[in-house]
Amino acid sequence: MKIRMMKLLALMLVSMFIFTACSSPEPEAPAVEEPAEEPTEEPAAEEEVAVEGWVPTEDVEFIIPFGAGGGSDVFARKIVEIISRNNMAPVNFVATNKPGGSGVVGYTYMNGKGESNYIMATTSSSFYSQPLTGNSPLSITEDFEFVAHMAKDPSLFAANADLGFTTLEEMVEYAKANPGDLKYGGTGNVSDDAILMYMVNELAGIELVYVPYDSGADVLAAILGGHIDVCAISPSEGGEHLETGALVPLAVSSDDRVAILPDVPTFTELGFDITHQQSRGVVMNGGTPVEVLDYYSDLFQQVSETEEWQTFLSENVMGDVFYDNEEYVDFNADLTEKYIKFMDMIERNQ
Amino acid sequence: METLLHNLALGFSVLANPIVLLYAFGGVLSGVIIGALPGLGPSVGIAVLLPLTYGMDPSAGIILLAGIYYGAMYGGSITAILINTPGDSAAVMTTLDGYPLTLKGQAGKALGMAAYSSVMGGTVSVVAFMLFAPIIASYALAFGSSEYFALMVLGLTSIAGMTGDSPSKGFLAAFIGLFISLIGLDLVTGVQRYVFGNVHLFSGIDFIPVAMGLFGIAEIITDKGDMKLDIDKESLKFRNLFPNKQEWKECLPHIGRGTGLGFFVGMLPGAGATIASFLSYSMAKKISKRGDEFGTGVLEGVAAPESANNAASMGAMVPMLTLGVPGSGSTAIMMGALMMLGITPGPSLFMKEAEVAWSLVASMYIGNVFLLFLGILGLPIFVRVLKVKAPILNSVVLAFILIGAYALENSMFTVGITIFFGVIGYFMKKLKVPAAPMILAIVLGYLTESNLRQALIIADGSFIGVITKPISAVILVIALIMAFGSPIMEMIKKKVAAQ
Repeated sequence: MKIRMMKLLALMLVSMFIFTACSSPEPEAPAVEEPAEEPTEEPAAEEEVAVEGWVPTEDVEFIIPFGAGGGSDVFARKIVEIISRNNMAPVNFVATNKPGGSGVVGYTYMNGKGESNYIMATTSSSFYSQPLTGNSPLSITEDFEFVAHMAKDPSLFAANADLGFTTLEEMVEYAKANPGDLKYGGTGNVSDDAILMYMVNELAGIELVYVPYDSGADVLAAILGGHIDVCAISPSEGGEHLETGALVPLAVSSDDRVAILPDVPTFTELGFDITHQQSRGVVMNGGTPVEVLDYYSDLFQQVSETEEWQTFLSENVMGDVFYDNEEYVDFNADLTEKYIKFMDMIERNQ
Repeated sequence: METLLHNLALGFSVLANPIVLLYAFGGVLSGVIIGALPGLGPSVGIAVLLPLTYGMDPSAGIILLAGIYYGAMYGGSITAILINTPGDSAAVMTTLDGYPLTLKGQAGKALGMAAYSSVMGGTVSVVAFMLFAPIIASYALAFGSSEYFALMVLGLTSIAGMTGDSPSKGFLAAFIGLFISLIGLDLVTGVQRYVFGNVHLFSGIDFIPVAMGLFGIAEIITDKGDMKLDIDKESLKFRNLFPNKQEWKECLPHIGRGTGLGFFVGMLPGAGATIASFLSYSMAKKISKRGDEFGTGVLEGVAAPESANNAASMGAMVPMLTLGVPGSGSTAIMMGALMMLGITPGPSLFMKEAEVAWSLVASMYIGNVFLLFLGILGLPIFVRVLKVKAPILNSVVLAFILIGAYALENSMFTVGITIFFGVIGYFMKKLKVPAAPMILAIVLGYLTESNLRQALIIADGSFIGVITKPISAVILVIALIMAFGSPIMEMIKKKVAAQ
């Protein structure tokens, strides 16, 4: 009995070992989340700054303020993967998920590390919406430095096929005739999806009704099931349902048409002054020295120029919009202004 | 049929590669271990092992992750049965009868039944998956917010089935749970509710750390006195792990119903394995002839939730793969992994990426065989846990709980939540307030509220409009029968008897 058990145990251990051994040589595998117990190295870091042509000497904590598997996660892990695969930096970038509070938990965590040259986070639309609705203790302009802007995500405005709309005009016509009849689904209550709908409402003089869902997946399920009539989704999410005809694409929110949907017009083409897209960039704590920002900005520029990054962007239908740390500051100021107006608009309408 | 067999053959041909087979085995094995470790559930396990799959062959990657998912569904029952600490949230219901069975000295039988019902639930579901996946996936979409609201109400009625001796204490726990589910930012208006400016509370309190505290930590810090567990060595003999004829007769119908229910609930985006196991247990208790004995250690009480949670884990993959709509946290992460590997789930996945899709189906057949193999052969090892001295076992389990709590969100805050609810759980145990209703209320509370509010917006504020949609009306009537059926029946019986 005992011997048999030992054998079994040995067998299990061996198979575990083989299993891990097989998977460890994968060079692409970025380090698994590491507990954030590294001491903050404020004093040491500040001294190094003075040196011209700053170079990192410690591993960088790359905060993803959202959970595993989501848009921000995929985006951040791709950057990390490209840096490590091409040996672009002398140190490791360790991607760490810090989800909660629509990103606020992650940013507050970073902020708590003080002036560190080795921690940065990704941004998405909630980087703007949470502070502006009073749901974040941080200030967009004071608590952050802007390292590099990497991409923009367009939204696709789509309708359930059963309604028979083929163009945005037809939807607008129907909505005018039947105010309050069309239900529009989006993620969260003060999200880009909500902004898009209220902009369409204002510009077209119609009354779509906003239904907030927890995730893009829930929105997709609701529109495919015919429970809501129109929605905003990312073009890559909608992908196949557009091909099968279950969803009808009406317009995209990007400046130009997107490659995978060459027949779908932009809002601007249709006479709506809407070019709102989700901005994705990398930020650090306020007060990070310029030399450090310059270094990382250059690094991310290199990333954005790789073929891998370009493929990634086109696969995920993201726009290739790179701004270095100086351009990003101006872009951010503009975008913050816009979001302030959007938040007003949402508040007026709720 | 011919194409089906052809496709399946294509799937198995991928598995003929020993490395892929090893990934399948490795996935199931790590799943069982991750599931068994209190604190590490399938979603944490998949999230932590996710980076491993980047750059892997897509088939191998998804096979590995799927193996972890359904392996964990069985693994969770091991610690639930042996030490009253569910390895993951879907195993909470398994503790209700599994642990009493251990106290009776029938740990082997309980574990055996958990393994058989898991494997049967899983295997039957793979067949259903293969035959009907695309068709049923579109039916699942008929469930909108109103229908989910009704389903959640039905789920809440199952609280009645787990109140133990004192219904009022059970409802007390449930109401505390409902209160906890209110914490966080309001989904519709964004108003802060009971968060007191703490950013960690903005997205609410997740039920997983609460469950780990109430069941795991509370169990550890409760003074068990001189209770000694006697494991009858005879009962661990191979032959005795098989339920006898009578037990099969009692359990099989429950496994069948649990599988059907689990697969269906798992397939509904947003419901998932935990709710499936809750519903399955309460249904079994209602239907079983010895429903009153549930909670005292009956095998059906293990078979019903265990078949349901494995079936649900298979069901959850249907909408994820065929519609690109993940039905649970774990499948959402798996979908992220697939996208990273360059595969977009959707209606044509089974055609465009036939090799990946069918090798996944094939791997689930083989994975269930692995699961049975691990479950039965590993049993003597698992049971040895009971021989470990309490101080050692407790400290190891506590360590895993705290690590798992941290790994959920990489945050000390969830660790604090877990410890806080551990203390609450201690007092609940002392006061004999059952913990299961509280967990159920936290899981269902938020879903009930958000679905009701979405449904109300869609129905232009008409509550009647929400509850009179055909599917929701039927479910709500069933819920009414569940809640008030037996007292009314008894009243009628009494009247008839009096006449």
